[in-house]
Amino acid sequence: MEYILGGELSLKYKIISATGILFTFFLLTASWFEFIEVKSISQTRILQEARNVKGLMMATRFVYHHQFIDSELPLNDKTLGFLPAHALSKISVNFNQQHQDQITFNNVSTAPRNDNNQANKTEQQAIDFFKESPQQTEYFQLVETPDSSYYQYASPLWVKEYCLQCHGDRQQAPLTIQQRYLTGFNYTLGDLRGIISVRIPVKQSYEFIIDQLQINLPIIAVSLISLFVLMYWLLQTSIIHRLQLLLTTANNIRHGHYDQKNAIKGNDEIARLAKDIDRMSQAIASRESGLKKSQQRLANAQRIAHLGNWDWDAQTRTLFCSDETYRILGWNPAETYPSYRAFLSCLNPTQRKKLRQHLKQSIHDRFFSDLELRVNNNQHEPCYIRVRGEIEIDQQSHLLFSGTIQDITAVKLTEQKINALNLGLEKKVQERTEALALANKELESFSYSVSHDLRSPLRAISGFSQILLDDHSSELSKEAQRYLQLVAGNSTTMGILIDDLLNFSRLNRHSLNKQQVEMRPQIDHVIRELFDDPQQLKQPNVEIIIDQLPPCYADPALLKQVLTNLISNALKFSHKQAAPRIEISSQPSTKGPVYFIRDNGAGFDMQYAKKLFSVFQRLHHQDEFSGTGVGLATVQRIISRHGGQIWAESAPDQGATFYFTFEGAHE
Amino acid sequence: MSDQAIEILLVEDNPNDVELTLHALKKNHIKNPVHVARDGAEALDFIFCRGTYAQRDPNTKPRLILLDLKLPKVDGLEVLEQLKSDPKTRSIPVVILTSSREEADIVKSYQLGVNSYIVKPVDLEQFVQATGQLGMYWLVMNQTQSSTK
Repeated sequence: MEYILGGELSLKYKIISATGILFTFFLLTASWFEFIEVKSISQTRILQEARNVKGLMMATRFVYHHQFIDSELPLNDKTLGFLPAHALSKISVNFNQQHQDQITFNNVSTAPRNDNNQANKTEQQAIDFFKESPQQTEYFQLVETPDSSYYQYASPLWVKEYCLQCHGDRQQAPLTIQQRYLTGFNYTLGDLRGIISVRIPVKQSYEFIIDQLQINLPIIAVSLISLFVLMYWLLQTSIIHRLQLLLTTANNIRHGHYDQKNAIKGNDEIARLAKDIDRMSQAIASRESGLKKSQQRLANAQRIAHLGNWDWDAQTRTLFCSDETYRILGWNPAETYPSYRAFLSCLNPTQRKKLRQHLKQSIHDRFFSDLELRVNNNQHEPCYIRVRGEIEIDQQSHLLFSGTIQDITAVKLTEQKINALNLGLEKKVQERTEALALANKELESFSYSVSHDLRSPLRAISGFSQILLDDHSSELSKEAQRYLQLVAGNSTTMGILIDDLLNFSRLNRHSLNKQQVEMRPQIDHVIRELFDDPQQLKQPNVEIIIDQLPPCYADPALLKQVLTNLISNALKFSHKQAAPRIEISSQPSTKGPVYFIRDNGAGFDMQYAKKLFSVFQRLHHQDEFSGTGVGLATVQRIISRHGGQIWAESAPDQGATFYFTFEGAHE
Repeated sequence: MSDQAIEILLVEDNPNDVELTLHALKKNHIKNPVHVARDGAEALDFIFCRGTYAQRDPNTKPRLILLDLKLPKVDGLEVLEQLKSDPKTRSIPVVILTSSREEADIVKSYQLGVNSYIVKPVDLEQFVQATGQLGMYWLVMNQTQSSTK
């Protein structure tokens, strides 16, 4: 709808124009009808006038006729003028001289006795008309000739009884008539003698019409103009003015002035419309206030989260951006018009290529995956954003993108820092690992040296001492022999010590070959070996009780070392008892089975329990119970490598119990 | 000595161990002639009749080689590899007699085709016993190509 704000409604002009055309049309139509009407009235008047004239003529004829007969005047040349036809003819001539209207009348015939009464052409037509239609009493016709225009009125003169006196048989007619006239005889009753002819000029009719119209047309025009003015006033006050008020209100609403109400009074449609618009305005105001709050909340959320939103029509290239999007991209809403091109200008060539490829792929897949870009937003350098979105296809097959843009600079920088730290850490770990590998290698070569080079001289000491004792004892004193025996014995002990230490140091390097192992066969095997070993201290009558044991998950070779050490210890520390007893059993726990080996031997003081599993730590004197102090340390290391635990409970002379698990920690 | 057929080649750099080994052989009444090579290079020269042993008859092969692992110049494992990769010497029984209990050494030796691997016990009694057993086995019990001829 188009309208000129603050000016006149075009509607007003439309109404004025339409009314003007309508008015003109009405005026013309009314004038035309008026003209027709007046013309018709005029004809009626003329006809009436003609009738009057005819009536007058007929009356005159009648009067003259009877007066002449009744007076019994002799018919001669002097009285001939009293005959009706003659008298009328003379009256008509006389009337013309008296009357200005130029109305003429006469009685005419095709066979007149007076030449003045000869019917002209028009009158002849009237006579023919009556002859053809004897029942007709009038003839009325507009006659237009180049010289004059007039209405021809005619009335038939039928031959009656009294007419035959002069117009019947000539022999019967009065003598004067016979002598004077040669024509006008031999009529019979009912013949048409002639007509009464009345002629009224058209001019008279025109004058009447003009007179009439001059009076009527101004009245019609004034009436129509009044009507028009009234109609316009009504339109102006009841519609146009109120529409202007409505327009002002609509304009106010458009500019957000919802509090200005319509000043339209009344209860008609427009007033109701105005009230509805007021209500609508209130509703809009309320909704807009809600919308503003909601928008403010959204903007706050976006600002706090550094998350803006956008949508983009790929066809029309229309880009919408929220305030936060502007902020993230460093755009000033007053300066930057959001567009794909503007966005591209924030990117360096590499990032632009990345974006283009991503869009191409997204359009192809109809799926927009997350995209991270580095942008130049003239604020802080560098700025990283994460773009998320989805693609919709509308009914015109347009691709509509919509999504979010998040400032992830802080996250990205932290990530970079973490990466740098990780890299440093990895490098450090690598360095440490290398150092550790080197240390391990050194340790290995050290172990190798110990194994090989330390044992060689020891073997020499032990070997030559033995040779001296074996082959040259006769040359040595008892004392020398005893010393040599001590040398040999210590060498052997040192050999065992070196072997134990090597074994212990090798444990860490030994890769675990974990598998499910049945305990009982292992234990039986270990016990058999220990009983076969002459070096093992034990009592032959030792009682060994072995319960049913659940299988364990361990390296069989290392498990055997554990069992050998623990059972060997149990045998060793209980061999001085009168009735040595060893119990091998297990108990369930949340972390799997807890195995234990219990003896009734020497035991130890629990305050030294911590030292139990350290290398070279012994709780007994060498002359009481021999040992290197490496065995339990080895056991502890094997068990901890398996993720298990070992602990002991004991008291001096109360025996000892060694508990161990292979997986999980002790509760 | 060189004129006599060499039955045992002892490759050992440690004179103490040489003496103890010879003592152990004697204690076990193994009287076969023994030649001692003091390093790996000498051992290879002796076997393949090269260098100072160029004059030696290449057809006279030792019946048993006792080989230490840690040797100057060329180490025991390399000597073993060369012996076992040469068809002429592959059939000679080689016993590693060493202080090393290293599993890597044991595995490597057997991969190269060693006939026995013995860790020298510190205790002389055990050492004599072990030497006696290996002498008995490889020199008396074991039938080789040359002994059956």
